[in-house]
Amino acid sequence: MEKTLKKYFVVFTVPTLIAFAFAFIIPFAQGVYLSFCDFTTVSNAQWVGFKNYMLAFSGSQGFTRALLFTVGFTIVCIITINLLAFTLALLLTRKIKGTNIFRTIFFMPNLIGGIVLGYTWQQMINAILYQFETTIVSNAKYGFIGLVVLMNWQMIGYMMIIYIAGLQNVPTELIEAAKIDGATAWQTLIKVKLPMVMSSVSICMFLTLSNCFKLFDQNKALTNGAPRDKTQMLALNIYDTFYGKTGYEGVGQAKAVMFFIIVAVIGISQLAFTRSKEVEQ
Amino acid sequence: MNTKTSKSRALVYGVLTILAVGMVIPFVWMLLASFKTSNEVFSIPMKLMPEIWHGENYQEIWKKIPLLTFFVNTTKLTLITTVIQVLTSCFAAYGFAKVKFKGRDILFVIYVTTIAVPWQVYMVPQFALMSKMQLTNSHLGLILMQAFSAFGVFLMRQFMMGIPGELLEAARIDGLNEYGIFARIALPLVKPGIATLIIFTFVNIWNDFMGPMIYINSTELKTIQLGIRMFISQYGADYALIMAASVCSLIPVLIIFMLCQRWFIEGIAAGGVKG
Repeated sequence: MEKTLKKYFVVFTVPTLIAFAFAFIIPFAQGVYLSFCDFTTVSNAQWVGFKNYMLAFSGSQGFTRALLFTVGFTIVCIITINLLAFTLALLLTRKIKGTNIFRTIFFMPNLIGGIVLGYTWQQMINAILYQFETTIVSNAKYGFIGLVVLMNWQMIGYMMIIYIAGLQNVPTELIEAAKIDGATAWQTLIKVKLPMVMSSVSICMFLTLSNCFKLFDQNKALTNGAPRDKTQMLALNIYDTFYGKTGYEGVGQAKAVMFFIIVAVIGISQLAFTRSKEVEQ
Repeated sequence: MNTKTSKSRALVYGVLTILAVGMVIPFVWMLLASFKTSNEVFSIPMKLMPEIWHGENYQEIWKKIPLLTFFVNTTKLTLITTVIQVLTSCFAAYGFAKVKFKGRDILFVIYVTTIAVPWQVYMVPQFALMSKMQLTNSHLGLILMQAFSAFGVFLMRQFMMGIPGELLEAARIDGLNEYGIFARIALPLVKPGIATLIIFTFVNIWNDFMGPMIYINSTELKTIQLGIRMFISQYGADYALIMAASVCSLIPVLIIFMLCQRWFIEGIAAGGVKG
């Protein structure tokens, strides 16, 4: 029995693990190594220690600015997207007619690719700003707000669906009991529903966090960093370091490794925090 | 009491309708702008409706850039990758959910956590590796790169976990081998999951921008997402044509979504709640 099971493990899982090693583990390890090297192609790498990491923080690199912009953007988006998505989910779980149509409409923005999305919003925002004789690239504030609106528009529907599923799993007896005990609608929401959907909150926070932090396509299409890289997010900053000018591949790699560490640390602490608030059902 | 509930119900519908209109506006904008001239898109004062409906934009887009080639390429890449990814995901998910082996769960966690790792960290070495195997600037390379998906495995495992072990055990006792159990018992039970994964993969590959941008050089191999950017040149951008091409690029995705949306929404929920 043991032997046959081992055979099946090989058949079902090993192909994926081999692909995983080739497509991820090897390049990832190489990527971390290269962040400590000077290189133009992977084969001519020379060890330089922490030089790339120091360089990444020099003013002309724009890494710190991109990091701050990305953090600000992500914080605003996490709050707005989750508040709106949760509110929508609350409205759509109140046994009313037509909820399916609303769900479908709210989800539709997820079908558009980041590039098309970025161009469409750029046009709409510019069409409005033209009335005031300005454009989205004239002021970093417009770019920031534009990105936040765009991201909200795209992600609310997705998060809403996860929240709806969570809310539908809250036992009705629990809500009934709260009502009988004289809890107001607000108290029921905060003291009963919210703790019961904490696992959905966990997932949604994590998804918004990682999607906002890693945003690239939309950033590239909407402003491409303009004006003067002030609306450049981390992924775009790293991309521009890799492909914008030669000789900075190592710096780009160092930035990418730091990018990974930041995403990992924030992601894990967020999950640990929200998970600790979850209640066993 | 009754008037109170009907009032609050009206309020709920009001809020929902306003938000729904907000959600639809960009789609409407896209459609209307695709019938305008590029100057008209940014007219002062702002006009939503085109002055004259320029239906010829929809002929122009195919002539100005090789959009048909891009459509064929995108369709080919999307269909092949989706089929392969769904198969490999189901296969591995069954392994992770229903075949017991040492270190399985920790291996799964490690595998799935990598979804969150930004591509930028391993993008350059991965490109070098692919280039050594002469798989850059080729569709085969793009397909192989996306043949396996940690997200797909994660999603399918969520569904596979729901299959009762006794059911599989009974089939084993009846003499069905493990492949038979996988194909004839497990797969039919996770159809909603498969539908979900199909849409997810289809939409992702169809809309993929960074992959083709980095891996594809030759114009005849490019995809729609890259093509749309060709309407922007150093002399300016053809905004109306960008929108017309965008509308065309959305149609296949919308059709797939409408066909499978029931399962799709169920699937996202399953991935989110049990995760």
